[in-house]
Amino acid sequence: MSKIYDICIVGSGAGAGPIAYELSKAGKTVVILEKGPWIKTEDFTKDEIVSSRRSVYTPNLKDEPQVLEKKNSKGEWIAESNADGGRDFWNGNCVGGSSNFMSGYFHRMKPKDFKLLSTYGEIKGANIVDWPISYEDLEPFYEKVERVVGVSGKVVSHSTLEPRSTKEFPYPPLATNIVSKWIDLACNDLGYLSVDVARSIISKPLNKRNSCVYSNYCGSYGCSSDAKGSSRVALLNDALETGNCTILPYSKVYYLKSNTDNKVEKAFYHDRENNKQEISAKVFVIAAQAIETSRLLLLSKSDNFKNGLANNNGLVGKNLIFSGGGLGSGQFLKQDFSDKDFSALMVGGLFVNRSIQNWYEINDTDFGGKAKGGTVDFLFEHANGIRKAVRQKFDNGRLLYGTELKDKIHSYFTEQRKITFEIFNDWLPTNDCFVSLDKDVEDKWGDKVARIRLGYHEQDIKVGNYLGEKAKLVLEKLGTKNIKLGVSGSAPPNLVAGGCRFGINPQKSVLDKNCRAHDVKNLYITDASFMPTGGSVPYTWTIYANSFRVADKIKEEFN
Amino acid sequence: MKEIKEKSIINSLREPFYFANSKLTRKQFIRGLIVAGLFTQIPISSCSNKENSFVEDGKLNNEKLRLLTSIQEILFPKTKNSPSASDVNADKYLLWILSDENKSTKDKKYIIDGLSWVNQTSIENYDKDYLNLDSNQQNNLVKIISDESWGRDWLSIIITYIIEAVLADPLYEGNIDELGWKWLNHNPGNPRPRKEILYGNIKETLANR
Ligand SMILES: Cc1cc2nc3c(=O)[nH]c(=O)nc-3n(C[C@H](O)[C@H](O)[C@H](O)COP(=O)(O)OP(=O)(O)OC[C@H]3O[C@@H](n4cnc5c(N)ncnc54)[C@H](O)[C@@H]3O)c2cc1C
Ligand code: SF4
Repeated sequence: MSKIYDICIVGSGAGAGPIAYELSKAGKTVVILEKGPWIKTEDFTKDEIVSSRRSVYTPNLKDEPQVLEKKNSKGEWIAESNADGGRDFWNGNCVGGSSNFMSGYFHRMKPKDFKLLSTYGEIKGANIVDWPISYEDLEPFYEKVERVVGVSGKVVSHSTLEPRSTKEFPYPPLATNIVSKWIDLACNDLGYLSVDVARSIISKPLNKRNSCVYSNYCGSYGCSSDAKGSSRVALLNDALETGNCTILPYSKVYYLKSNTDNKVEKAFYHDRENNKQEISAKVFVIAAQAIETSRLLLLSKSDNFKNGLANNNGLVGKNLIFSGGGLGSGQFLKQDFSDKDFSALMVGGLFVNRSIQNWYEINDTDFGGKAKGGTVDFLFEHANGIRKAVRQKFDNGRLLYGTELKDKIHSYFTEQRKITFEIFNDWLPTNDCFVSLDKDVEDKWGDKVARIRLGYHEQDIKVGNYLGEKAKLVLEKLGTKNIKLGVSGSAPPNLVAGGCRFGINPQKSVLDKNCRAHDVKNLYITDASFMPTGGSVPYTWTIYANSFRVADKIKEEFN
Repeated sequence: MKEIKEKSIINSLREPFYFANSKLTRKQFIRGLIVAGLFTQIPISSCSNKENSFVEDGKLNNEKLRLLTSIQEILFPKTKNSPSASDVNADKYLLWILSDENKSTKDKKYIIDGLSWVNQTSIENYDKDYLNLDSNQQNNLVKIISDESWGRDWLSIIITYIIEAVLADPLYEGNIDELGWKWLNHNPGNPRPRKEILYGNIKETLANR
């Protein structure tokens, strides 16, 4: 008889790592099925072509397309496959998943985020609910992430600071550029509070991991010092050292077979040579990132689950959410600063790490009274050279070339530095944002692909603009020029959650409060799929924390 | 032709490498094209380990290659302190792009068809093939083309790849002697890639481990 593992995990990113780490340390046999390759630290380099301009860490869309549904000007939903190119919602397919490529801006959710409905009330057209757990339930695990995955930062007291069980971060804040001080001063003048942003980047060594070397190429790049808190480096390496954890790269799971007792027995996968294989386990954990997790459940139909595994209430794939908000920017022009200041500003590698949370809760009659707001994070434009140069091609829609283009590129690289801000606000869950299976389009293995409807709620735009207008004032105060703001309902592919929301009521949720499927006794989901609402921050700290929480529940089950 | 689109989100800089359908063909041009008998094979050594099958299929000929090189030089000319397209092997780099098996035939065809459209525009305006124009006329022609929407889109793609040749790692065989980085005082970061993990090699290298 073939081996029966204690735990089989699908995916190896942020949602998977804590399960593998905890359960293998607890002596359980763990197997991880990961569809992508195993890229080791030494193979992550600062090659812009590989990291940012071609599909290397993500699949070729010809092989693994997705179908995107968008509203046209008449209000009709139009579906289009991206097999021939276009936007896609793949983020990082390799051992460690997208956590290898994140920038590691880490924020906790705040207590009120767990009670959005009871705090702020209903919003028409949005499926807002309270979470079945509270901030207090998750706090110990946020703290654990700080220690185990490694989070650096400085605690600054402010009106919406989350209650903490420890006074300080275990890793001191990373070094910052002179601009951070300028932001502090600008905010002070405006009556805002600029606060340090925590990062999932260690500022001093931890076991075999080095501290950050300020490579200047962080987001979208794998880390060569192992300072970034990817699941691969921070958790899976330790899990492997127990001898209880096996990682199978190039193993794309396409079906979960459940029995009449409503338990998953086997995961079926395509291996490196495209042969079909199967693995048996006592407990199955899915963490394939929100869209693919829903897709896998929908693909896993059986007699008891005719509409897909754990989907007898039809909620799998529903209430998909992203991070709402947008982006603003301004340019520091050389001519406006002393040589000394401009040189200090141009120093690469150092972080900005400042955010404003003054409007996490909006209380403004002009806005319409009390409402949920969000976060503004400041950062420099990414250092990618090709990207920066390519963006100089146009001047108000006119194509530049020749010396005119070259002069503009040269000036852009040497006579200015762009600072940006990112706005994070809730992407309200609606009936117009969900994952289903496309009826026609299949991937290279013949499995139906995800079809993603990308609707959003107007409130998301309203809040985003409110925050953006405030943040623009900071850029003005800083003396930047060409200030721009873009807030839209365009979904950021890398900040995705929902699709299998957790809750108390089995009729209204897919998972119970411990992220176990209501209907399937040995199936857990530990990526961001469980989140019914997402808070006004990026998700990964919460994904890690929740996965540690669920790991404890699974351990309890075993005991 | 959609431009390579930017994501308005948190440091997600993975700009999708794509071309879309809108203006992929210029029907009026294609109809008028005289293509028979023009094709010869071009001996070029691709800078990746891939066979340059698209070129060897006979779809890009010597004249088109010379036309491409000339256009690239107009788009990215030499100046006192900066490299030109030819200084960074931009033509060879584009041939490497055309040999990329992950790139759709449609996208490759668009790039090559554009060369024919340029020549056709030359005939329409000067009653001469592009390669027989003097340099003033060639410059003027590029100006004329850049004012047309198809031309703007096509030239824009050609410029994107010139810029890649200028600023990608020298292992891709553009950016000779780091001329592009030196010109812009650009620090590309460390560690630098190795040959076996360049685009074109990395997937195979990883799969064979
Ligand atoms: C460029 C970038 C910047 C980011 N910056 C930040 C940031 O600053 N702050 C922040 O909080 N978050 C950030 N993120 C988001 C963060 O990376 C994700 O929230 C997090 O990694 C999600 O964890 P996950 O487990 O859901 O998915 P992932 O970490 O992506 O892991 C999912 C894994 O499942 C695998 N998989 C999928 N389908 C299957 C299948 N059928 N069979 C087997 N395996 C499968 C995938 O290959 C992947 O490896 C960023 C992401 C990117 C791409
Ligand atoms: S060394 Fe620091 S800046 Fe560079 S990728 Fe790693 S964590 Fe990011």
